[in-house]
Amino acid sequence: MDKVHTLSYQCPNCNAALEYDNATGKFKCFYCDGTFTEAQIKALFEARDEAVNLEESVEPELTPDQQETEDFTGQSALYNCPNCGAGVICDSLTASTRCHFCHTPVILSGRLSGEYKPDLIIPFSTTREVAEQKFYAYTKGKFLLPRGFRSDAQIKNISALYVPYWLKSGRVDANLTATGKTIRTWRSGDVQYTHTKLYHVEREAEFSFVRVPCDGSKRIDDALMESIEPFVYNGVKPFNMSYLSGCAAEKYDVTKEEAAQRIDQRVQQAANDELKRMASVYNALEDVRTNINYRSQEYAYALLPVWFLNYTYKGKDYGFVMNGQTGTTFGELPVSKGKLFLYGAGIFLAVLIIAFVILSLFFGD
Amino acid sequence: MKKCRKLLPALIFAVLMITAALLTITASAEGKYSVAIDDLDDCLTPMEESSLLQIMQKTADKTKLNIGFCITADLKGKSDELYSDYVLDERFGHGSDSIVLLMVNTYDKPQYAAVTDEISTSGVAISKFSKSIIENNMFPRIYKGFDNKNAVSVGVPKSNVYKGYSSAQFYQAGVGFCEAIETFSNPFAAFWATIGDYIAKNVTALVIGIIVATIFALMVANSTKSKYSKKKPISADKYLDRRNTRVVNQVDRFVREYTTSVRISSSSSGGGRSGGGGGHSSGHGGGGGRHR
Repeated sequence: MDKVHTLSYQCPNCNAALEYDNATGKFKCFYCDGTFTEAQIKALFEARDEAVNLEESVEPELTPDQQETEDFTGQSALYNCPNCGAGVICDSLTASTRCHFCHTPVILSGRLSGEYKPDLIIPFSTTREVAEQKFYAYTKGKFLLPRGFRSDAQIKNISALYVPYWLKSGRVDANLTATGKTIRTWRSGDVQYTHTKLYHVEREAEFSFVRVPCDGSKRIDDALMESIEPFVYNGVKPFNMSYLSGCAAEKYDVTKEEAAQRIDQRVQQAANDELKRMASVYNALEDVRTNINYRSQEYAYALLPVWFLNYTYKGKDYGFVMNGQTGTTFGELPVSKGKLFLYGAGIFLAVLIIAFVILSLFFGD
Repeated sequence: MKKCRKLLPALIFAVLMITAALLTITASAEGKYSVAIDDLDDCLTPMEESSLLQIMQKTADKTKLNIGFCITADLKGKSDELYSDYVLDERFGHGSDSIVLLMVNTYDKPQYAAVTDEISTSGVAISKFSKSIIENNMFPRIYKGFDNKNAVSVGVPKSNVYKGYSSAQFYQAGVGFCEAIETFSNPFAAFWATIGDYIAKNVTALVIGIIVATIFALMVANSTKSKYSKKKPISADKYLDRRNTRVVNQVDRFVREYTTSVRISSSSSGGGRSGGGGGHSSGHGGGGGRHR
């Protein structure tokens, strides 16, 4: 098992743990109520953070036995809490968490160095209270939910998580060829006429895509994350570990190349749609052929804020997520089979009565 | 709202109990009610008549009604409705709480071509047994026993008392009459029995209704369920920098044109139905069965 270096941010007044306050955008000590701006935090801890980064940018070489042990144990890690010294095990992807004993925010600095050091971060700007309200609003009126899904105990499990994302920007050449049809119909007497004109259509354009995201975690569903897009990039900042204080964070386990496949799919679809929009004068396009090529591309690795709630119902996990910047929500909700059956039975009875009465007038004596 | 939900099962249980109690209410016999059989065409054996009288008496006591059963081949110049009223008045008195079944053996006499069996009511029986209930619910029960060639009876029945019908079939008609009175004298039971009869007469509509309701319920339930895991369409056009979009080439070259035509036809349809009926004398209600 690998021993991970940890660090936390202490209040210069009372030495308690500092956390990033989503509501104010500042760093707050919840013990003495002291607040500090990003500039102040940077001035206080910049030197230490740089030293930590330098020290951990070189990965220690493992012996074959150590490598085998690491592979076998699934790369979990033991860390010592910088506050209480307790030894706690966390999984291989966790980059920021809280000590299970004293609840101090702990950043596993080794997980965010070298190739895993993010380029960018968008700090949380929505609070837990907003996330809880959005959850209630999202589930309101959904009567097929199992009992207890909207309980207070359940909502307390909502947690702030910085999700690793790959962001790809680039310029693409896109072209389209198709047969376009314009159709005109009119009626004369009891005859309907249809006049069709066929055109050979070509469209060629250059598009710029800016920071198309794909989440870099295999254990988070891509479609779930895409449902809470877009993130607003004018809120993005250069990465600094202090933003993670108080929130959970993960490092990526999806490589840039793997993420690029998903991103390229989305870019291709968007470019196709844009080209078709450019030929919207036609009533229909047939034999459509498109070609998309990257002229230039660049990647960035970022941590983006997401509020997460996971619910297990009958052995299946259901995720509710909220964009920690814009407040956009989405969730997969469980359905109680008993309630669904009763609902269906009620509709069945109601329709049966109405249908029977109407049909008996036509088919009855 | 939560309190209402908690009380709901208790409320449903209470309603069911009350309904069951009302369905099983039996009339207490504060005094005997009269029953009479006028077998003027000799269609019943003495044993059948005696047995039927006992059955009718039990029904009379239970439902608090006088009950009469008349079989005749001669309406004495009256209509079927007026004759059944006459029998009721003669036997039980005008305005009494009574119900009488008249079965007319017409022997295909031309003057009786339009004559049908009749049920006449008076007193409280008028409101208990509407014309619709008599014709759509009671007579079918009477004829169910009457048309049964293998009808059981008491003692040895007489065969071919009228047009091949045995005395056992007339006996079963009387038994069916008593069962119908007991069923439809209770408003709740009458309601459900009416529903049941209506459904039995419209089985085709019921089958089609079940199919339609099943399909519709499945569609609605699935549609509702899909909203619980609906994924928004995923598009990267939100990340498209439209200010930097450059159109390089745009070609629209005419190829050819053509015109097609379709003749549109229309149709119309129409139709209609009509019906008719007769009436009982003042102070009586009732309804008609079939011509035999």
